Formats: sequence, structure tokens, C-alpha cells
Amino acid sequence: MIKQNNTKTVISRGGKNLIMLGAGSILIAILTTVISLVIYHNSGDIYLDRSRPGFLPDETEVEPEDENVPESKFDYERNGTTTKEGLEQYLQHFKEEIQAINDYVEPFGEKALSDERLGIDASLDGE
Amino acid sequence: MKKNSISSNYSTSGVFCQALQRYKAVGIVFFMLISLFVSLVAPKIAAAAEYTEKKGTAIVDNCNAIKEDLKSVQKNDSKARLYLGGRYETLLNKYVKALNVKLVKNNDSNINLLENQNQLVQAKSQFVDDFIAYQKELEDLIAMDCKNSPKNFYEKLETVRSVRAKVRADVANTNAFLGQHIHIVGEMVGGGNDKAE
Repeated sequence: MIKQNNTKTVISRGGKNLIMLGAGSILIAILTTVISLVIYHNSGDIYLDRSRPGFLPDETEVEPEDENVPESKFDYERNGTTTKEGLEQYLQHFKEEIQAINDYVEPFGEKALSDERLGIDASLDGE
Repeated sequence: MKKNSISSNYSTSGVFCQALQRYKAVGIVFFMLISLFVSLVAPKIAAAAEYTEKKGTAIVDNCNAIKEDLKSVQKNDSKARLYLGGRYETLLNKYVKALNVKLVKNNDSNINLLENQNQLVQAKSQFVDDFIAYQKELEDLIAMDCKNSPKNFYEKLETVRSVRAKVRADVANTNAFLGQHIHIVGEMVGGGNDKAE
């Protein structure tokens, strides 16, 4: 009888422990996920991430190939001597990169958030 | 003896160094004026748009459409940040830093180029910081109840506009420093013409 009782107690505790382990694991997973998301949000990284839901390019969004690949193929050699030809080539590629920046139409332009654009027309004031 | 190092040629020219120093002083004053203008005048221009009852009615009527427009702006701005940020990163790492490392290795380091690099790094960092601040404000604006509190919504919109103006100014500042870099390197190439050949 004593042996049976002991066995029952052991089985009962094991099941309880298993449930506690499962629940504890889930709680720890939830906690670490929440902490990660809070850090991700508060650090501002979320605003720099275009792969988050709702910010992925639309299917209809046509983007020139070069817009998706900002990396330049040119790599200025860090070793060796500085020559005039080398610097001229450097400048040529540098200017191409600058041109690509200048070609981007009105980044953060004023009009995008104007009353007119948002349908809060200022002309209504005069009525 | 023919010398390939252009920067050492130009650095030995006292007149050229004086000219660069002069440009540097003018450049610093110019950027300080721009920064002063942006910090003082831009917010006032943005705040010039005042809330009226008519605007409030328009906000309530077009609330959903306005929020959709704001989400679209948010998405486009995110795209612009990614594009410009990528270009700036490329220019800094593959060009500016690479050139300075090479000049330092050759004992031809150029103080103006190094200073320009630091300014570029700071400008790029400021651009990212201001962009994050702008996106936070924009997100708060989108989450606001424009149907029941149009006045608060419009005031928040003005705040978002002023923060956005800062991001725009950061882009202009960074581009100006990149232009300055071209100018300095251009002078090096020009200054080295006579002696390098």
C-alpha cells in the first residue's frame, strides 16, 4: 500500500510539473517576444524596416531595378598610391551616385502633407 | 622624379591651402545659417496654417480618406528613406571612407576631407534620427480620432509637417556635404595637374 501511494504521488507531481514547465515556457516566450518588440519599436528600428507588414512594395508598384539596388558596383581601391587618373575615375562614379540621389523626385516634399493634398482645402476659409 | 601622389602636391601649395581654409570658413557659416533658418523659420511657416471651423468640418467629412492618404505618404517616405539611406551608406563606405583610408596610408591625409567625412557621418545620422522622430509623430497622427477631435488632429498634423521639414533639411544638408566632397576632391585633381604630370 505504501509503495502504491508513493507511486501515485510521484505520477501526480510529474504531471503537474510538466504542465508548469509548458506554461512557464509559453510565458517566457511571450515575455521575451514582448520585450523584443518593445525594443524594436522604441529604438526606432521599426520605422527603418520596410519589410514589416503594410510597408512591402505593392504588386502594382513598379520600381526601376536600380532603385532596389542602391549598391554601387564601383569600389575604390583602399591600397596603392593616389593617382590623378584614379581620382578622376573616383569623381566620375561619385557624381553618378549623386545624380541618382538628385533624380529622386522631391523626397519628403512639402506638398504631400498640404491641406490641398489631404482634402482640407484652405480655400474653404474664404467662404 | 615623377610623383603620383596628388594630395601631397596640393598640400604643399600654401595658396591652395589658404583658399581651402577660406572655403571652409564660408561653408561653416553657410551651413550654420541654413540650420538657423530651418530651426527658427521652418516651424513658424508650418505653423502659419491655422485651424478653422471649415477645416475641421473637412477633416471630419474626409477623415477616412485623409488617413488613407497619410498611410500612403508614410509608405512612400519609408521608400525614400531606404533609397537615400542606401545611397548615403554606399557613398560613405565605398567612396569617402575608402579615399580617406588610402590617403592616410600614403601619409597624404587631407584635413578637409576628414572633416567632411565626419560632417557626412553626422548628417546621415541626423537624417535617420529625424526620420524616426517624424515617423513616430506620423504614426500617432494616423492613430488619432479625427472624427471627434479634428482640432487636435490638425494641430498634430502641423507638428508632423514641421518634423518632416527637418527631414527635408537633413537631406539638403547631407547633399550639400556630398557636394563639398566633390569640390575638395576636384581641387585635389586640379591642384595636382601641373606637378603630377
